[in-house]
Amino acid sequence: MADFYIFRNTTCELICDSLDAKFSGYDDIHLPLEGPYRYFLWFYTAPIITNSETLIQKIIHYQSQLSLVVSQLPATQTILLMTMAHPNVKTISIKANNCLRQAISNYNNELMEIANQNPNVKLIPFTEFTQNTPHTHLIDWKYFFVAQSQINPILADTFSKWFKRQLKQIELIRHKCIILDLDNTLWGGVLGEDGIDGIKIGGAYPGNAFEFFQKSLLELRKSGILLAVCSKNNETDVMHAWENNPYIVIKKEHLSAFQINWENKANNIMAIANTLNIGLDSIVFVDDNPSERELVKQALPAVSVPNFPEQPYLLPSFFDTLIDNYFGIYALTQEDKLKSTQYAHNNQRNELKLNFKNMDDYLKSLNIALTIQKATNLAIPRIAQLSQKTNQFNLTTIRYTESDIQKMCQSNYTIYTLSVSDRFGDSGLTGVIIFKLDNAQKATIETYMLSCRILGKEIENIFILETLRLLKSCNIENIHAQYRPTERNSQTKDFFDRMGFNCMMENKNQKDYQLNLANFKYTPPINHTVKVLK
Amino acid sequence: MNEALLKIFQLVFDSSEIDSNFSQENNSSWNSIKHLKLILQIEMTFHINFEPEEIAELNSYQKIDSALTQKLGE
Repeated sequence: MADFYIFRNTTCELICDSLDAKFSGYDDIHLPLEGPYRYFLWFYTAPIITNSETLIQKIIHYQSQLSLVVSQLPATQTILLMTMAHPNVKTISIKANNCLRQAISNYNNELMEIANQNPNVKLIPFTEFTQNTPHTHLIDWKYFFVAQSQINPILADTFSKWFKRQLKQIELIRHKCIILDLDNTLWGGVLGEDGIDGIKIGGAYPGNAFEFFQKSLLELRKSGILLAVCSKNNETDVMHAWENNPYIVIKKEHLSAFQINWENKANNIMAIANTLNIGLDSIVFVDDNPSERELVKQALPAVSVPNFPEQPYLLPSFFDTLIDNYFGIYALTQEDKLKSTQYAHNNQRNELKLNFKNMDDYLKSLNIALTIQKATNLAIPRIAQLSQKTNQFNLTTIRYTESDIQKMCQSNYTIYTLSVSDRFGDSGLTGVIIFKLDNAQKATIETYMLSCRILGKEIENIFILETLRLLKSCNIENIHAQYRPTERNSQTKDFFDRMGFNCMMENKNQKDYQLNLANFKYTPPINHTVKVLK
Repeated sequence: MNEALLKIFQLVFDSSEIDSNFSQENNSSWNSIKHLKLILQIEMTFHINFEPEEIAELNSYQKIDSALTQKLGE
């Protein structure tokens, strides 16, 4: 179907533009009906909410939502979890800020714990991405208000590159071996000319820089990468240096292979590949000499040959790029595993964290309250606005102006509005149903639309069923409705069918429905509260 | 036609058939995400800034072209 199914709580389509992805509803943790998906991605960002207490509670709640999602997906499904970065809002007190940091830290530790316990779950450190972006650059408020984009959309390119690298690491596309030159690569100077005492290794600059580089490479070796040497030198000179220069960190015993002679380096590299029984494409060749590098690039295009820094003090950043490009590995170390259990015990807000066994539990925990009432004058602008902007959950996509709505309120129309609130706050007026009263017994649903913010929590079902119940109590017996397909509203194609309407006619422009209210039975919801105002 | 602007349209809509009549009304592929991508690209390329009220109005090649001319002239 697509590469990614992305569970999200905010608009991230702009920044995820380069991914082949389908997106969940906001805060919607229903599993998609179609598939398969190569990856499920959990991309929840800290919401921009002015009340930090609510924000913290929401973040805790996300942990429970995630646990439910993971428990419902098969163990063969790869799930990627994005860690949460600190949001771009200032809290009013330092104490609130600390509580928020703690909440986010707990959230990220929870994610790590879940990744620990489930081999199909992998962590993606989104915090690393945001840390490399200047704070002010992370959000563009204009695009936040216009498009609800919490992350600055101009970061899309950078994000895409970074994300693809993360994916590569997760897919364990990792080079296996690094083949190193010696002179001016692992130490300063030329052994054959400067002698064992003259080469710069250890001590003052540049020896300390080369020593740092050698030590870093040794760490790389500990993580499973093979080290090898390919150098134009006399082998006896090099053996002598390895045995007698105490500052040289990488010695014979650390190498899986070496070719020290005056032959063509490309041939030597091939020999090493044969000895180690690895492919040329898993080899990284590091040499300070541009002509040697060029020769190997030409002769062995499968071998990765990065440029070497001009100055020894640039070796640490060079080493970082080696990790980034060739040797990054997705793995949780023992230390990480230890850390995460410690934090789990320290989680002070455990009492607020719930474990959902199923969707019903989850829905109940949200304390969703629906408020339904006939359209008031104050609601008219919002109703018109919704009709202009709502594209996805909109059965007929009729656009109204304020004066349209006003006229309808004064003639044979009944308009109900829906406001929704939950544990975390009020979403306001987010649903509208417009009935045209054709006669005393018959009404037609001219418009049924809901804001995408509230989808996925059965609200779309409850609202219409409640209003049908109200109409029935006014002696309406016969309801007509229509679905008009557009580019955006295909999710509503079978909505009326699911609500029990009979489809009378279907063609490429519309589906016509009819419902007899005489047999209409309505069971009030158990997981939501509904209030109908006079 | 403004060459640079045309290039942006071609990029965003992945099409070489953009003419001056190209608009949101006559192209179903011009959805809200594409709309924002278009605006973003134009802002970045021409180093200008569109206000939210303007962004909503810029739903055709012609409208964007004249808004651009106006802004660059300022």
